[in-house]
Amino acid sequence: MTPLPLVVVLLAVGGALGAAVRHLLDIRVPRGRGVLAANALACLVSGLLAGAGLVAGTPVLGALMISAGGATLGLGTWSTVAARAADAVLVGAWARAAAVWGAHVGAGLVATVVGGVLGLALAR
Amino acid sequence: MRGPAVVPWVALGGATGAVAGWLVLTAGEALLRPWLARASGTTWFFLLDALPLVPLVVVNTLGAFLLGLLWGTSRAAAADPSRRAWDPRWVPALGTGFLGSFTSISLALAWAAAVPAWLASGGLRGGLGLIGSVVEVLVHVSAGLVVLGGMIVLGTAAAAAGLRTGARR
Repeated sequence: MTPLPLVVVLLAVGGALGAAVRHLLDIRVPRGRGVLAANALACLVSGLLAGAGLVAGTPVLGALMISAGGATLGLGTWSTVAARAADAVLVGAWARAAAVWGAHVGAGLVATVVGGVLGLALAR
Repeated sequence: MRGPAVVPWVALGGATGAVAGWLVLTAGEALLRPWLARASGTTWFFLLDALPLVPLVVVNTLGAFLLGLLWGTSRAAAADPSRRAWDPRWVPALGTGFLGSFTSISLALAWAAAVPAWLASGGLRGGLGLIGSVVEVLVHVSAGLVVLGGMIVLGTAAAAAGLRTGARR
């Protein structure tokens, strides 16, 4: 079992990388879809990890998986989606708020399932 | 402030946010464990299956409120020339970095997607007959959608409350 201080360090490294990638996607992907891309990618990795399971055969693989978990925490975000939807709600644009959530939840669920299936296939 | 120049600050916020979120989720799960162990096998399986999600609901709702508060406050400061301007690194570091990583959409959707997968792997209690099994399937899938929908409503409301509160500061 990985010692707690090492888990914290690995999560921090993954979280730092994930957040940086999300920020870069946000400023580079046109039409404000950078966070959507980041969330879909986070869900794909999350599904992959869930499908493959978090039990790793070697310490290196275990460390990589913990870091990947940190990366999905850093890459994906609930709060930004909620704040963007809230911006729309506060000006009465309910349809836009629903579309924001619909896009993120829809893309995220598909990515999670695809990741899960891939993870299960890789684990076999 | 947006752009590659703030990436180190976003990364620093992301590192601390991911660890903070994980710590809260882990502590919450540990606190709930005795309740889950005591309550398993009762007839309230619908509600109990959603219990492990409570720490995530707390984290995501709190994060949404705080991000709304941050955005509202920083916008109000930017719009008022008499107020001192924020350091341009704070919003990306705290907002995009810390709060973005503190909350998690992937965990929420993984849970929602796991319900049908768990059902498909033979997770039904059995012994309820055909109608009972169909009802159990519908209840479990509905539980996933209802809880996810509730999280969305809570998160949006919390962020809106934060935006409004921040705008008044």
